Amino acid sequence: METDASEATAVSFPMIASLLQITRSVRLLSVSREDTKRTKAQVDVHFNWIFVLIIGAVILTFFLFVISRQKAVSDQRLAADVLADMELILTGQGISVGREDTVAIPELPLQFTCDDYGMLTMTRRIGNAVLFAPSSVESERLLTWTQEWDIPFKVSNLVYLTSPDIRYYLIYDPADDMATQFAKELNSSLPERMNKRMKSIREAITITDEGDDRVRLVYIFPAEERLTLPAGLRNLNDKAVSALAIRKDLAGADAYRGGASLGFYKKRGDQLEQDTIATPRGDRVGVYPSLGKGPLYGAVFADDFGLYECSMRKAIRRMKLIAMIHNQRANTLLTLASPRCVTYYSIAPFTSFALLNPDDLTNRIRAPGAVSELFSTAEILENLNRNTIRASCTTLY
Amino acid sequence: MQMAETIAVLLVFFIILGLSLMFYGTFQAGSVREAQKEQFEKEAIRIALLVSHLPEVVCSDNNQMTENCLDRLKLEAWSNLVAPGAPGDGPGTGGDEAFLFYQTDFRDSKVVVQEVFPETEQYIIYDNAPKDFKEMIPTYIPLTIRDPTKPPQSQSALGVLAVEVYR
Repeated sequence: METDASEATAVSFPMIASLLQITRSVRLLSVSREDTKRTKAQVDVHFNWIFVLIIGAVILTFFLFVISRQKAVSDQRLAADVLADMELILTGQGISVGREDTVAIPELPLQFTCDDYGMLTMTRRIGNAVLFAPSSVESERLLTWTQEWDIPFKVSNLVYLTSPDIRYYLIYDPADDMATQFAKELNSSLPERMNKRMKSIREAITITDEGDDRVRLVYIFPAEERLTLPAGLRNLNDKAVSALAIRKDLAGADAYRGGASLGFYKKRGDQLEQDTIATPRGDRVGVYPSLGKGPLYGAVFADDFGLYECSMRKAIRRMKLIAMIHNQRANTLLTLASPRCVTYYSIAPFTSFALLNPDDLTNRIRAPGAVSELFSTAEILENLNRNTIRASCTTLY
Repeated sequence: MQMAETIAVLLVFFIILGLSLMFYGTFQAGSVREAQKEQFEKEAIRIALLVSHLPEVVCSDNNQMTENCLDRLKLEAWSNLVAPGAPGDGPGTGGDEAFLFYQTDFRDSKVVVQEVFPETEQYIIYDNAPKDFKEMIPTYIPLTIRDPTKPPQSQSALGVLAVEVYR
């Protein structure tokens, strides 16, 4: 009604009509401004929330990244500290004999290769230390042990590493007196704190998984060529089970001094298969001769033939160098010796040790007498040294 | 207006965070340097310990090693054997081969045995001192040098084992 009246007025008074038009426009404009303000405020509130969310997510991601980096860095630092301590432990163990220690370490996988050992991405060089250890240890405690290797002169200290989470079974045939005797002797010689058990060959069939990280089966003078994996260990991971067969080569010969061979085995599926390595000549070998008590104990600790052979190769290289030093020393002594001592220095067979080829030890088909020759030479040298003491001469070694 | 305030707060927050990270980074770098230094000192002790117990040079009587005693004849033989370029007795024995063998243990170091009384003589056990180095830690261990060719009363001489470790 009002509109109609104003329209009528507008028709009668054009001036008033224009004013009304302007007023309406202004009113309409002010309404639309209020709407825009309201809408803008609503958009502002929404954008604020989205902005806060994005920035929150960015900050959260940043801190998560920092935390994960810090964890990685602290793990690496821990690994570096452990490896540095391990290096000192290895040096300490390497200079004292018959020492048995338990070392607390973080429960991170400690890997051993021929030349180095490592934790996470950090590694340290083993150097010339002759170390016998499982290829991997993951435990809170590390058991270390040292023995001397004399052949007959001192060559090196042998360092052994294991953990209480690795179980060793010494398996023997009670009907075989020599095997029983050897198993008992081995059991009493190995460190007391080592997680080891003696089992007769009949009991060995009943060996089951007791939740250990690894299981190492040590067969002493087994009659069969093929080793049987106990049924209770078949479900374990292949890497968790390994075996060693100490076989007597020559009847009557000392099993520790070249009279036995050491065969390394790994679990593959339901079977124990021989662990072999390729030689520089291209053929594959999986058996090593026993070169003394220390190296035989080493075969119990090392679960990988490649690692064992490498450690023994280092020990033999060192033996050759030490033999050369003793040889030169004997030659100097010879030039200044009194007549009663001359014989001992002139015939000391150090050169036989210096010229030993480590490849001959693993290839007894090509060099059948290498091991027995080594020990017979060692015996000659031992007698000569004893005689130097009797004759009041300077000892050979 | 509210948005600008939020951005300003965030800016201040990130500046403080950046400064904290810079401070932490500097602190971390310092602690890493300290750890490296400590590691280097340990390395020096390790090498000194290793040399003083080497069966290659330590005095032995019927295979019984004598602590802190080096055999003069073994030292002479060793010097001939490990010296770079020294001839060996065959392939894989002596000379450079022997030097390389011991390099894995002694790394960048110089090991010298010095007789100080009654005579003065020097035996270089190992020398792999780099020409350019940042730092060197010397370690001296007094010991006996025994000469088995001399009469028992004059066999022992006073010596010093000097181990210099470089980095």
